[in-house]
Parts: sequence; C-alpha cells; structure tokens
Amino acid sequence: MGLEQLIEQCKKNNRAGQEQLYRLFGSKLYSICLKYARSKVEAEDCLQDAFVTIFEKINQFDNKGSFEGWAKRVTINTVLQKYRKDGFFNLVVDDIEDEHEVYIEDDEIPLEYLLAIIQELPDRYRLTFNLYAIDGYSHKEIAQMLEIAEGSSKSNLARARSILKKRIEDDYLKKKVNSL
Amino acid sequence: MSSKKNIDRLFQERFKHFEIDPDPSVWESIEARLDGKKKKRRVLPIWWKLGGVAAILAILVTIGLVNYKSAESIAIPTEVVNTENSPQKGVQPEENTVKEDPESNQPLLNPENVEGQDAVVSSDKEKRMPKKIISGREIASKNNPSAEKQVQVTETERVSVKNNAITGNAQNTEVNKAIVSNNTSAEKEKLQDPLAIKTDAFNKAATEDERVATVEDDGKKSLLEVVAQQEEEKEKLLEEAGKKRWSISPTLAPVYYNTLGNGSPIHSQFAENSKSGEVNMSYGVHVDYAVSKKLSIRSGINRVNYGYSTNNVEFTSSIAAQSLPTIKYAPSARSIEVADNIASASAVQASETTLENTVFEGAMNQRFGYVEVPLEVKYRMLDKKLGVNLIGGVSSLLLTNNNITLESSGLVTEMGEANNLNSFNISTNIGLGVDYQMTDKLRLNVEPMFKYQLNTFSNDAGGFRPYSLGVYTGFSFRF
Repeated sequence: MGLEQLIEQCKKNNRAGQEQLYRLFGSKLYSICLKYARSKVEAEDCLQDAFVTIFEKINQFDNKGSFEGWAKRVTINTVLQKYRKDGFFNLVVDDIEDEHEVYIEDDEIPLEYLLAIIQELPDRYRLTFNLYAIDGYSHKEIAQMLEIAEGSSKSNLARARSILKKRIEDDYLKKKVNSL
Repeated sequence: MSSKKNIDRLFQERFKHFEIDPDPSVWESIEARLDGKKKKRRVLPIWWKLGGVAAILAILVTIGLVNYKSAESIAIPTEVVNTENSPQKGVQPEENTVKEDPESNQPLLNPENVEGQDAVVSSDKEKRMPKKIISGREIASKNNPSAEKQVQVTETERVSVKNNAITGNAQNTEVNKAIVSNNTSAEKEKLQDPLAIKTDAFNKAATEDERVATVEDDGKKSLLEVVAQQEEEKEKLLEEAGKKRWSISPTLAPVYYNTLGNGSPIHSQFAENSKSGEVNMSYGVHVDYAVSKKLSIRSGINRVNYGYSTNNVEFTSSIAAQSLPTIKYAPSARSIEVADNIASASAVQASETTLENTVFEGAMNQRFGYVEVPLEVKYRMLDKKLGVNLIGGVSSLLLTNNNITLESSGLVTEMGEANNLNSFNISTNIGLGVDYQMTDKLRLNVEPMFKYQLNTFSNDAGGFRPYSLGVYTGFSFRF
C-alpha cells in the first residue's frame, strides 16, 4: 500500500500499519541513532523512543513534504533530547578555533571503524559533528537545537574534526608502518 | 595514490547509504510501550463519559427524590410520637431506682405511680400518651442510651409501616411486641419482661376510669413541656445514633484541563489557535464532617497540576526577538521569538536578521501547579450500601509553579514562566459521587467533578475560560 495510506493507518493507531511503517523506515532511522548515540545499546533505546514519538506525533504530520525527512528530524530531536538532559552542552565555550578544513587520506577505511570512532567522541563533539558534517545543519540551527552558542558549535566541530583525524591517522598510519 | 579528502566529506559519503537492521527485540519493545499508552488513553474517555452521564442522572434523580421525600417527611414525626409509648414504659420499671428526673414528673419514679400512670395512659386518648412517653424516655435515656437508641431506631422503621391510628391498647401492645422483636437480644430481655408486666397492667387499668381524672389534670399542664422535651430527646437520639461523623479520605484523580472559550492568556495573537488539554494526576486528602444523615461538609488539601497546549505556533531564534509581555523568559530562551505566524510578526524583519533562520512549527505548552483547598457540601441522595451523592462547593487554589515550553517534532525548548498568573484564585465545583460501603468504617468513593476556574489570570485572559474535569477516587475511613 502507498505510504500515504500507511500514514493514515498509523494516525488511527492501527498496529499493522505501525509495524509496516517500522519495517520501512526502521533501518534508516536506526542508522541515524547509531551515529548519534554512544553505543549500540543506547542506539536501540533511541530508536524505540523515536518511534514511540513518531507514532504519538504522527497526527501532526500533515503530508506536506517528505515523511522520511520528518521522521529523521524527529529521530534526531529525540536523541538530542536524551543527551541534553545530561547537561553535556552547558559547558563553557572553548576558545573559538579557526574553522579550517581538515583533510585526510581516503584509504578505504571501513565503515564500522568510522562508526566506532564517532561513537567514542565526547557527546558534544559527536553531536555537533553529526549535525554539521553528515546531516548538513548550519551552526545557527545547531546552536538552537543543542541550546548552545553558535561559537560553541563551531569550536565543537573543529575539535571533533581534529580528534577524528588524529584517531584515523594513528590507527592507519600505524598499520601502514607495520606493514612495511 | 591515495587522495586526500575533506574529513567532513569522507564521513558524509560513507554514511550516505548506511543502513543497518535493528534487532527484532526493538520492535517488540516499541509495541509494548504503545500498548501501555493505548490502555491509558482508553480509560480516560470512559471516565469523561461516565462523568457526563452521571451529571445528567444526578439532576433527574434529585428532582425525583425531592418530590418523593416531601410527601413522606410530614408523616414521620407524628407517628414517632405515638408509637414511642409502650417501649418506654417497658424500660421504665427497670429504672425505678433512678432519681435523676429534672422534670417534675416525680410520681413516675414510684412503682405504684407507674402503674397508676399506666392506667392513665391505657385509657387515655393519643394526646395524653406523649407525656408518659417523655418521662419514661428521660429516665431510660439517662441510664441506657443505647437501649433507647435501639428502640428509637426500630421505631422509626416501624413508623412507615404502622399508621397513625394507634388508639387502643391492643394496638399498643402489638406495637410493643413488634418493636421488641426488632431489638437486639441484649435489649430484648430488658424490655420484654417489663412489657409483659405492662401489658397486664394495661388490661387492668382499662377498667379503672376514676384514676384517669385526677392524673389528667397534671397531665394537661405539662403537655406543652412534654412535647418540647420530646423534640429534644429525638435530637439527642439522632446525635447518638450518628456518632461516627468524621471521615478521612485519601484521594487520587486523573484531571483533564481545558478552556471553555477560545482566547489565549499568553497573547491575543494566539486567541484563535486550537488548544488541547492535558491530563494530569491530582492527589490529596479530604476530611468529611457529617452534619446530618444526608448532608456533610468537607474540606481537604490536594496537589494538582494543570496543563494545556496552544497548537500551530511558530518559533525561531532572532537577535531582535520581541518578547511577549506575559512571559518571564528563562536565560536560555532570550532569543526565542514565538508567534502565531512568524512571517507576519512585526519583530522579524527580513533585513534585521539573517535569512538562515529556521522557523520551527509546533506547540506551546503551558503548565501550572497548584495546592488546592476545597470546601464542599455533599448531599446523599441515595443512601444504601451503594450510595449516590451530589457535591458542590468551591476551592481555593494556591499557585506553586508554572512554566511554558515550546515543542516541535519531539524537541522541547524551555521558554520561561508566565507572569500573569494569580498566585491565589478560586474555582467553583460541582460533581456527582458514587460510593460503596465496604465495611462499617471503610467506603470506596468515585466522584467525577467539574471545576470551573475563576480569576486564574491577573489580566484579561482574552476569553480564555479554564475548567477541569476530574474523577476523584479514594477510600474513606469513618471515625
């Protein structure tokens, strides 16, 4: 059945429709959760929260625009909400580093590895990096979503990039050196 | 040759098509949570329907009962007077040793006089009987309140059965016997023997007309006194019968809050926005005092949270954010601009702020927490094991906390507090309660109530008229 009918079913709290919607979008949204969460376990919790919220708020979705986009947004907000409660974002702004671009050797680094090092980042760096670099939000938007200053968002991003670069270079440079 | 890439691009590209299936257990957990929520939601509408139906029933039943009652109530007092005669006499001989008799009916304390009085009574018309009754009761009540209570209680039951026309001895003795058989065994013994004697006395006295005349004179004088006193006695008995007047009830209630009119207390621009009410739990304790068998007054203390949402609002962050005068903004919310429609809000000029402002669409939630002290009157319309009550009164509300938040796609942002809320306001309450008497001391109550709030806001609320609908449930302990 078409997506629109499926959404209508969910609006009426029809369990079969809800399950079908979950099957359709579950993987995509789970992947988002994995990026934003600290671990697989937390990602699963986030996914649950996200879907429960989606089903609760589905009546607010008025079929204007993409459902996937809306669902992604809800998922991201759910994750942010969860970490915001921990108060990780209310730290003092680091000195604002220059927002220069960071380059790295693209050596066919496996996805699982990239995911792992992202999850290992401290919350504020991880979330900022995800929002900016992968999901394309602006610093202004990030500042609002994380309830931080725009400057903090920029410095979080810079810090995240340098940590990631160092990790990759350390792990892969080492490999290269050892294989020589 | 390896190519250097912008680290952002690297991650972006790799995660673009990243999809992984979650564990099957995740869907099960989601299902379980949805089920939990479903049950909660289903329960509430039933309560509302019940409340509505109960309210309608209440009105109909009250009309019916009031009509039925006014027909019956007149008959009762007079009947009580007449049938009290013999049982009192039964008790009397027992108390012959009692000297405490404020009334000047001294003769009654003497066994001989007792008999004489009996004679009088037995051949007297109904009118004379009251005098005898009073004295007997007086003595009895001083020494044996519970016995009298028993008698009184059973008498009132008899009243509705027997009619006014108890004139002759035969009928009196009948009544005596009937009443005696209703008493508890303890009292029964006391009453039965004397009564047996009395009935003999009756029969004897029936023939002695001479004595009648002499005693009659005394009787006439104190007749009025006697009647007055009788009323007093009745009151006393009632009081004693209803000794357990106090009761205490811890209560719990789901409460739904919304507004009768449209309008918005936050700003007039939100007046036309749809509002959704929230359901919260209220908990507290009530204390009841029974003024009469049917009427009681009660007070108590409750903790209650109310909340509602203003839907379809837009908000964004802006340097020149125009603040709403009714809100005291939290420090983190200073740059938030909320409006019914951002584009037309005067503060957000395209030239003043950068174009990159994301406008969020969502709802504005306002919540208030109160400590409520109700003062209500409860009228018991149906008084059986399962009772029905009509409740009405007022509550004073003391504001303890309030906040306003913005919500969009699941993300909640704190805005601040409302500064136009009165810290003290009143609500008028009305409701219909149903209760079930589980044991002598314990009662289960379910009371749907409608409470209309007055002067919640310190300034014009723009047509916002809040009310709450709650179903107050709990147990009452009588003591």
